[in-house]
Amino acid sequence: MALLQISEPGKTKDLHDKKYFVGIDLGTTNSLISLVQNGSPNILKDQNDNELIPSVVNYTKDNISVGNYIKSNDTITFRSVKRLIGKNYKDFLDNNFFPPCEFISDNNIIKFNVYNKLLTPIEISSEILKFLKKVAEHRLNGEIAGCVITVPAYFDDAQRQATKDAAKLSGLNVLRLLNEPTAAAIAYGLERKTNSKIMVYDLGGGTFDVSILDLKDGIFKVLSTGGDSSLGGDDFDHLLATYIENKLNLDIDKNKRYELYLHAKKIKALLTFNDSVKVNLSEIEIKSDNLVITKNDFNLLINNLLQKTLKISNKVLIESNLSIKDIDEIVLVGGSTKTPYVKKLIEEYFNKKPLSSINPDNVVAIGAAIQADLLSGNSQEELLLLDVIPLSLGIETMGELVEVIIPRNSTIPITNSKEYTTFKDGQTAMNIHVVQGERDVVSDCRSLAKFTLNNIPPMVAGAARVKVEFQIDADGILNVKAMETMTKKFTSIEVKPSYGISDKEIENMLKDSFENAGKDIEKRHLNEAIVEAERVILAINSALDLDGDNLLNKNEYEIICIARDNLKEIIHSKNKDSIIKAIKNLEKRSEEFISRRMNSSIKSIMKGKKIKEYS
Amino acid sequence: MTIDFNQNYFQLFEINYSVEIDNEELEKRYLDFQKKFHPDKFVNSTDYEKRLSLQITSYINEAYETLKDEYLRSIYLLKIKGYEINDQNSTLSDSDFLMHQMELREELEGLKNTKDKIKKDKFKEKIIVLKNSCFSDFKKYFKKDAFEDASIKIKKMKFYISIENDIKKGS
Repeated sequence: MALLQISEPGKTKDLHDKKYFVGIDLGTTNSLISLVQNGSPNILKDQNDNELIPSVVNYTKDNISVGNYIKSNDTITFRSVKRLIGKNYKDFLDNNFFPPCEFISDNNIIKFNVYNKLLTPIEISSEILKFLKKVAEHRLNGEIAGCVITVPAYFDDAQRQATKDAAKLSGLNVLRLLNEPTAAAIAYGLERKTNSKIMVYDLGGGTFDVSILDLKDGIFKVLSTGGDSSLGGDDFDHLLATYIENKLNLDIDKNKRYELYLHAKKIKALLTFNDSVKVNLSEIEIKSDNLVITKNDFNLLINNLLQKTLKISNKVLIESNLSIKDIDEIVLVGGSTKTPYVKKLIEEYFNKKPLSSINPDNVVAIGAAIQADLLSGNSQEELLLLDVIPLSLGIETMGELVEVIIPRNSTIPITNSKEYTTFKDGQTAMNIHVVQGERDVVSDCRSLAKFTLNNIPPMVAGAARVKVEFQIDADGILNVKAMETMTKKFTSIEVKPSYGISDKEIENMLKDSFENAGKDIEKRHLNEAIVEAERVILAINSALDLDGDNLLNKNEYEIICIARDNLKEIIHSKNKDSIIKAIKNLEKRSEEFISRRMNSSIKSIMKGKKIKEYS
Repeated sequence: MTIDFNQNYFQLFEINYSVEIDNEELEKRYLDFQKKFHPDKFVNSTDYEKRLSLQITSYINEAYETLKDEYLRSIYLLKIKGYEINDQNSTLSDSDFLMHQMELREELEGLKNTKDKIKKDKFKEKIIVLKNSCFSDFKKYFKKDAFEDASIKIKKMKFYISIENDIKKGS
């Protein structure tokens, strides 16, 4: 007779005590969960045997479901919520995210009203992660002890932090955030193991990422990374839809145009395997007049976009001081690389056949599983990953300029510090403004955080020194500290804003940084000249106040004042060269005065008397 | 797990104080350190060990980036010799060089709107030659312990590097 087994409370864990370390590809459209078993990486399937789990969250009045599209009136369905993670309300309004329900702004945080509950994108994302965790626990009949979650290389501090927060909400222990292109390279690197330089070309639905990695003696080092966060396969669909619209001379409204766009996606997919497709739009009630689209038509449409990706790839190559012939392997990632013309162009441009033995839909998740296994300490592999920070970090200095403290493509974790000094006599506070981006001017970069360092001991301008230290950890998350070095007064903040840079903004920031480099330099030099002019005027005024009457005769005094007033006037001209000229002039006119001051102060020290007393 | 944070970067990597170093040797030591101290190796360790690993790898990365780059390495060497170059003292009071700077800036400005790639490449080439000659002068002075003169060369080199970066940005 079988006895009913009753386990002791608290010991139930023994029933499935095996602990697993998984990889998670939390995608915009689909998500995957994976792990390494017996040395080989596998994707875990859900109850319907699907590897790709749609990143869809459905809410009904009293139920939440994930992974399937439910069309019903009492269901609120969220798709592509990854687009909103780490973004603020303003970013959300700029983004073309289609909200499925009412929403509000709470302190600039987006909140959706889901059956009278206010939910943030972080909470909605966490439902996807909870579901993936359940899938894995069910398949493995064990506990998930830790995970590696992949993020786009271009994710900024806030988006990374928000992804980690979502994982925390879902009860997952995040060992590491891993950049998606890096994950893909790991997936292939482990297969090959030979020392090589690998380029990862990742063209998804909405983003393009490219990274160069160096695999050497078991160490994977990311050399540089770049991309365009608003270029992807969706753009192919838009071009195709517009082409059809023009060919058929259609006069259609916004909704119809959207339907046509969805239909263009299908045509694109058909063109992957066929040389031509006869367009049939009867489904969306458009007469298509026997229109036929050939592969060649399509290729011509997308050619410009693809040339852009090649240009970016080349730039990233230059940044790692490499040329095309140095690249040993090219890895393709993302659904859009399935387009035959994409493969063909890459092969021609780099003169090398891209690797495609791993399904581009799975390759990121496989890399994540390998990294999770490496981090778990159970792995037999000796592989170490050295990743980089994708966007430069800096702080605002005088004249609204950005002083870069950690340049992009620096290996993380990294610390760097810089000393700043006070601008005015007796200054007791200093604002620290942390920004992220590639432009020289603050207003063109993304503001990450602002804080104030108070109680600086009042000293003459330039005497107080504030050391600002940036620390970026292995997840790419930032921590900033500031300290006045004489009094060792400490201010520390974690840069943890409730928003991040919108993809569009990063895209624009980077693009602008290249296109406007010229304008920036100009602006920068002008600002520098103005700051310098102001500094010189302040210094001269203070010197005149102290010693002007004693050391100068009326005529000499006048000459300096004229040069000074002339400079003051010229600052308004906004002409860099004239400002510099005027500074030089003022300096020249004051030379004699300055040297007299030096002498007199030496004399006064020697005599132990003040100048006034001895003159 | 520990390292001495007070030693300088050359001591850390056990490399001779020199303007010219063996980059392969440097990289090899760097990677060995990474294998030993990287935070990935301490995922399941105590918070204290995690923090220490973060500090050590940050220090190693900073040290490596400094020594790897000839310009940063030179500045670091001067600092060790007591000739620190910072924002306050990095301006040169050499009016000829100032003129030269302005001319090159103007030339760069003029190239901005041209599509003539050969012209651009030529300019880039010229800057690199100027930079390299500055650097070899620096090396000469440095070897003779003429640190004052060496500092001036490095300050000039800084200007050429900034032009070079602007060319890269604009291309």
